[in-house]
Amino acid sequence: MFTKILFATTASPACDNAAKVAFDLELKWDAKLFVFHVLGIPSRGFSPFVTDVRTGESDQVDGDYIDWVKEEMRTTYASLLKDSDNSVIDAVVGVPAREILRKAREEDVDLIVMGAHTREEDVGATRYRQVVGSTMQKVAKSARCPVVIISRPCTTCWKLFSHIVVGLDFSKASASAFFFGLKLCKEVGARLHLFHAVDISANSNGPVTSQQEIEVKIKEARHKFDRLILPHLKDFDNYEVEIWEGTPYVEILKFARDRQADLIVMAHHAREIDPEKAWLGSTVEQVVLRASCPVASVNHPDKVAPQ
Amino acid sequence: MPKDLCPARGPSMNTVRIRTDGMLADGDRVVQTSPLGCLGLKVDLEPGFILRSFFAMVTAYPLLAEVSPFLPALMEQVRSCPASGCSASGLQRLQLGRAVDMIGFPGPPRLEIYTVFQGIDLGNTVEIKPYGLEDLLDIGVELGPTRHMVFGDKVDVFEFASVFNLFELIDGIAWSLSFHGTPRQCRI
Repeated sequence: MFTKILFATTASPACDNAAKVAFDLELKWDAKLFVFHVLGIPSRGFSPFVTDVRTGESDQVDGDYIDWVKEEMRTTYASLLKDSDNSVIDAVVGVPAREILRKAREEDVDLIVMGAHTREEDVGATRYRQVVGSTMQKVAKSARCPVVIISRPCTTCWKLFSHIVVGLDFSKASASAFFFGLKLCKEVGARLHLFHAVDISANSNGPVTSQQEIEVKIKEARHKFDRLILPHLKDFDNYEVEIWEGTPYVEILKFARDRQADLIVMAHHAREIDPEKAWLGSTVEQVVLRASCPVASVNHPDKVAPQ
Repeated sequence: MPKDLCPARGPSMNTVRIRTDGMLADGDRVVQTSPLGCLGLKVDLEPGFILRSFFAMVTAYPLLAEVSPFLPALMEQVRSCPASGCSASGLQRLQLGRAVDMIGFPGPPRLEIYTVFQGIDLGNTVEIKPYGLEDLLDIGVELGPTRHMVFGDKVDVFEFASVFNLFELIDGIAWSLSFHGTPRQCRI
């Protein structure tokens, strides 16, 4: 299923968790792994200088500079490269999101693996900061393949897929998420857990929802599932469906924990808008922030639509 | 029969004490009705206060569970934990502190202030994210200092004694515990 995987990295400790997952996937799927780093931004077109996006300092790019960066990356990932059969280290100058998407397109990768943000920080510090950095936002929006986001140490073993949770909100993007989850489960023999949360969170507009109204909404969701999802399952029977009420991101995390999920697959955004214009939804961000397993964001159906 | 308050200190103005049984005490009176009025008061923890006491408070005052969307799920987990013996070795106590982070780059200079809930062992801070509630419930909780970091320097950190109000305590602990939930099945 994954023949080419792109691991976009800052080669800093913030990406260590994502690195472990990326190299695990390479081994599991016998895939070609591109370990890709984008350095600085040119101060003008064809300028010999790069600006370190973290420190703001200028440095001169010459023939040796890129090689030095690659050597640094080899050192950083030495222990993971030891067991790796088919990985390629690459570094380019440019705007990170643009270069990552260009590389993904050029190599026609099946999956992009990234860390959620470039800074290590206290749990408390994440409260007021953007969980998903600007690079991740742009990549998740435009990538034609699923983007796997890792923000915490992955305490599950991707070599032993057991449980995949797919969060459904019955939008077009969530249909793509479903197809990706189903395909993956069929490939690895994992159990597919389909989950929908009827949103009764305090932030919803309107009056307080009564128990009767909740039950009606749950029933409606069940009908939607039967109509939109069930026909695609066909003879695949290793799945379960859960629909309950609550704040979506809270309930997805609770469900994933309860089912000991190895992966959570979600639609990139909930609203029915042009995927080219949609930013990563707040539910995905909240799940990425707290999930103890990787989260896959799916925006475009290109790589996941059924044949 | 109501428990005696600790006699070592008299009640302070604008202070609410959380007892080890989770009850809120405003002066020498136990808060029997809505706890909302106590949210802005300076919080004082009775000696012997443990994390289980925190959840006992949320049980005694269900309205407080609305401070965080994760509290109801955490309460469920607490109910499924053993009634005693829930403490991990390697953690002497839990501390709620505050961090003031002066950030210069990237973006415009700014000051971020947030709570930090962490473990303490032999004077060193320990991240508690990998621990489940069954490892934390019977560990003592204390209120810690405010740490001021300047431009990312985590070596020379200024520390100041600080105060917390009840809302900060509830919100800070709930925020931190919402990151827990490592599946027990596989720990690498």
